[in-house]
Amino acid sequence: MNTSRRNFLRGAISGAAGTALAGGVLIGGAKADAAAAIAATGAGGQVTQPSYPFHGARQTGILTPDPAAKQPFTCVAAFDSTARDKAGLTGLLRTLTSRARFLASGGTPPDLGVSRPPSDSDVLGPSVPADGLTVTLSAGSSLFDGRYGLAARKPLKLTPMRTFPNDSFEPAWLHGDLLVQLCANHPDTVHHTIRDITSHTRGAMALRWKMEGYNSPPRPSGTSRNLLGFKDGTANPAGNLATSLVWVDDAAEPAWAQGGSYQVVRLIRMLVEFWDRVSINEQEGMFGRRRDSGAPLDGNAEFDTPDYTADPQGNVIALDAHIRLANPRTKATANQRLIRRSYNYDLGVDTNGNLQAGHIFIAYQQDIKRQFETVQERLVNEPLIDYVQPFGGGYFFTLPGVRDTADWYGRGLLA
Amino acid sequence: MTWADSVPNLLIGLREGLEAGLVVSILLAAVRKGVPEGGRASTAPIWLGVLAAVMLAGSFAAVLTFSVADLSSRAQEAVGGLLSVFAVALVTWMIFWMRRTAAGLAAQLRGEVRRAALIGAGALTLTAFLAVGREGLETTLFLWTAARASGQTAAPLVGAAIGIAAAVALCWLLYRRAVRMNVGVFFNRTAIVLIVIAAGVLAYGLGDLQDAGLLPGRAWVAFDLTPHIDPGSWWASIVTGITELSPKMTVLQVTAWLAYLAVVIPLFVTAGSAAKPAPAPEAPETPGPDRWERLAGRRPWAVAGVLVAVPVLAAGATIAALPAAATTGGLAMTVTKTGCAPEWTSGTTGTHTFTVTNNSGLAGEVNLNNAAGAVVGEIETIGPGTSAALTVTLGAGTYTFTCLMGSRAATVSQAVQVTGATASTLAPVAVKPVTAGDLTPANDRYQRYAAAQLADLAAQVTAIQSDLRRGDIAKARQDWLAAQLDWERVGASYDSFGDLGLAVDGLPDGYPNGVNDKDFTGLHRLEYGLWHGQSAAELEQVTAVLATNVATVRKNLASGDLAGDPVNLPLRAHEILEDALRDHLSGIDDQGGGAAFAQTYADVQVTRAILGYLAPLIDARQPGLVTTLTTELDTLDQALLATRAPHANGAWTSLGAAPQSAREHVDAAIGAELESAASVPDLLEVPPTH
Repeated sequence: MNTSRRNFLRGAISGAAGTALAGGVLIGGAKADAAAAIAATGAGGQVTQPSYPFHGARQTGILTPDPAAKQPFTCVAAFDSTARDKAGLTGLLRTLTSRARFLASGGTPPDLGVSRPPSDSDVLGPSVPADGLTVTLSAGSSLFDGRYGLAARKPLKLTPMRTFPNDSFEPAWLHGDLLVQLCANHPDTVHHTIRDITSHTRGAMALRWKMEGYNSPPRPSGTSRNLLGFKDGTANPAGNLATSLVWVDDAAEPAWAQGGSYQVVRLIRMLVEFWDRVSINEQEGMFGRRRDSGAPLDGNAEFDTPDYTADPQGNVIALDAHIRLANPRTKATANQRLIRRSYNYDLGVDTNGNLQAGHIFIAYQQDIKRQFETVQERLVNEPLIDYVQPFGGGYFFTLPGVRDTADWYGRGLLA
Repeated sequence: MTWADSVPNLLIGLREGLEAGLVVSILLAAVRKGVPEGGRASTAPIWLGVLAAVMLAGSFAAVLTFSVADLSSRAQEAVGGLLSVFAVALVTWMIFWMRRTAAGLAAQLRGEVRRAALIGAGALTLTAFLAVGREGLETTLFLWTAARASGQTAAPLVGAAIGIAAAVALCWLLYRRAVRMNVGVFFNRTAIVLIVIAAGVLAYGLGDLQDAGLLPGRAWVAFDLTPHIDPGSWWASIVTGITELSPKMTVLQVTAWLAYLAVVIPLFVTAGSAAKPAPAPEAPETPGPDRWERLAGRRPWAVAGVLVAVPVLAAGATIAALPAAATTGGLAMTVTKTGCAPEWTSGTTGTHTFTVTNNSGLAGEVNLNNAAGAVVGEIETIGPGTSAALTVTLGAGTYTFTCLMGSRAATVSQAVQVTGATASTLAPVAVKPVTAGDLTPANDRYQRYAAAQLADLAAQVTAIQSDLRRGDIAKARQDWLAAQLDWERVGASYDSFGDLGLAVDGLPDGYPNGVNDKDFTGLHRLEYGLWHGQSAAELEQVTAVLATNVATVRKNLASGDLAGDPVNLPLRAHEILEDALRDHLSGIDDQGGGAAFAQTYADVQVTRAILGYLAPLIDARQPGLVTTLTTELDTLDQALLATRAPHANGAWTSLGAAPQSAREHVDAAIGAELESAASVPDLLEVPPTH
């Protein structure tokens, strides 16, 4: 009896423990799913995470999260520094760091008492959620002019953005000393963040231009579509390949710049009305992909690899098709690939009554000349240029990450 | 065909083959070891299980291939997940059964051993079946999709075959070595490995069920190493292949993995000494040992025959019993070197999507034509080894597929009478094909017209030169507008004059130094100077360059690389006004002259001329379209003329000077015309040669 009672007790305890564990895991899972579903409502079912770690050797918003799983909303804002001197710039970057750290982690804003207006706008309610926010800070070449004594520390390959044939740049939409890329799961979080950042940095930097964007959920599957209706980003490098193409590790670059990345931003108007009046054959021919499935014209499914060696005359995928010029898939062009993290935008009405809409092209790479510019030179006279107008953006250098609570943006550059 | 296509399949074959083979060889070894020295145990139940599984996978492949309907990814995950969990339950049970049997072997005498093995005969068959079947189904699914994706090349199949062969060889080696080992060591070592694998399979199966939405917690991720690990790398394939762990796992997966190991390993270790080891709770009912032993033991060949026949019949029945899929299958058409859609034997009215597969080895074009030879549906470019969709709305009538592959002569399908009610909604227009030859007379007329406009332009440029020589900027501005409008009336669009067109009419955009760039030349350069206070002397040089470029355009007008290609004429019918909307009415090409409305008015004139030349071809394909376009152009002209009267004394005004309502009327009128005009290039499209 003694043994059987002991067995009964042991059985009962392990049964209860097993039930509790299974129940706990399932309930926790259901809760996490519900939270993810809320986080993803804006993206129409795309699952994004509620937060991304702010501290690390590299900044988030580039490969974290992966471009294929990027947050559905963005704001890209360029600023000019108005700080008087290097100490002022240091203060600005420290403030930017502490705001980004707080906003990307979430929390309750401090109570300032009765003597001042509230510290937070409450746009996101009394407790600020992280909401998948990533804040990615980059510097333009103009930051390295004489003002702050940084000329000798400029990243080697950082220049103002080149004007390519068919670019129609508007000065008001170009360049900037600093560029902030915000990505989050909801548009109100993006708005709250830019409002918080501008409020805390007032006087030290001036907003030069900004553009809000959104990313579409898979329709119906695979990579998101751009506003021309085509899947965009199918051939984006991922995993180790992306890592090997994006982070600066050239020993010739300044030590502080190691682990950063070169960023190209191009604001590209898409003439969607004109595009919609073009035959499907011509549209697919210009891209080299099927519009419905995203398959290359020589394949059946979106992620099929086009085989250009089998089609040297361009009978199936034209020699000047966008995908063929952008990525010829040869050994020689393999190191020219870049990581795209682009968004769509809608801006209002053009002078001629057309929708003003397009593409915020954002690309990260090790070397702008080797990667973006080489690819762009191949694309100069592609047939697609009749339907797009690049009008703004710039070249920037994305700083290395903020490693811990003692670190701040650009410490290696300024300290 | 690239041999790289075979690599993932080789890995899959190796991985899935190893997983299945490992279980089978342990089973085989268990049976062999379970027999007293000198005795013989039947391994037939195991081989019967393997046979049944291979037949199942083969039938599954047949069903996949012959029924077009794809298994949804969610269904694949649900089936895979349930099979995995089921397999884990069985493998666990099998491990304990072996342990118990082995313990029994050690403890008891020879006579009872055979009996113990027989109790497991049914379990042996079932375990072998599930182990091989699960991997077989996975492999089949993977191979089938890979073969489809790479366009029926042999590479995926060869890769998989090599992988499976390697797996079998490896298992055989493993098995040989296992046979030499003693029972206790063998069971202890392999069983622990098997438990670890089973834990991985459990985690993987639960992950599948989470993906399928049958279990919660898909978003509760324990860890995600995907950014740091390339899942395509060889070592990642091997690690994930053997352990079934993935770089990204949910909390449920990790918990289940740990709990399984924490429970099963101690139980297994103590099971040897315990009198009554706890059997796995989900252990399914097995057929009575006696009955199964009788069947499998005495008539192995008969049972094998049944195991072969049943899946074949079941697959046949399934394929036959999928009427929906069969109908869709009726819309699958193939093109071969000699045949064009031989499947086209009957049809009904309404909207259909045909899936055309090109097995001809050549790139080409596939059309569906009506009885009059007009095209109702087309795939303009279909690559070799690919499939593409052709969506078409058919009214009652006779239709034929035409295949134009490479430079071969066209092949046709049989003509099929389509019956049924013609939908009340307007069926799309059937289009009579056009050749470059059909367009040549119209293009010849256009070229004579353009030559006359260029002569006017040249005269106007001469007039500007004399204005500038006199220093009369005001007169030069007037003559610039006249020259600009002459150029508009030439009908340049669509990059039709190439670099020379850019030299005559280019904008400063795209040049590094903008308006001050040395490459910024032509009419807009002159406009910029005339409205930005530049001297007559400076502008004389600009005008001299312009005169030279205009002369070259005149000389080369008829050559192929300028406006000579008749195939481009239909594009021009809508592109000239598309460019007016894009460049003039948006204000982006205004260098100070403020001529947006005047230029658009001139663009309407040249569009009318081109539509006139194309009218017979358009009327033959879509009667009424030219009349519609003419009316819409009239409306646009009225809107344009309204921008200048009365507030400007009859002179053209700039965009900014016109009231908003006047601009809105222009934008509305040009937009309406362009929506209609977009049909012209589609109606008169000359297919590319393949």
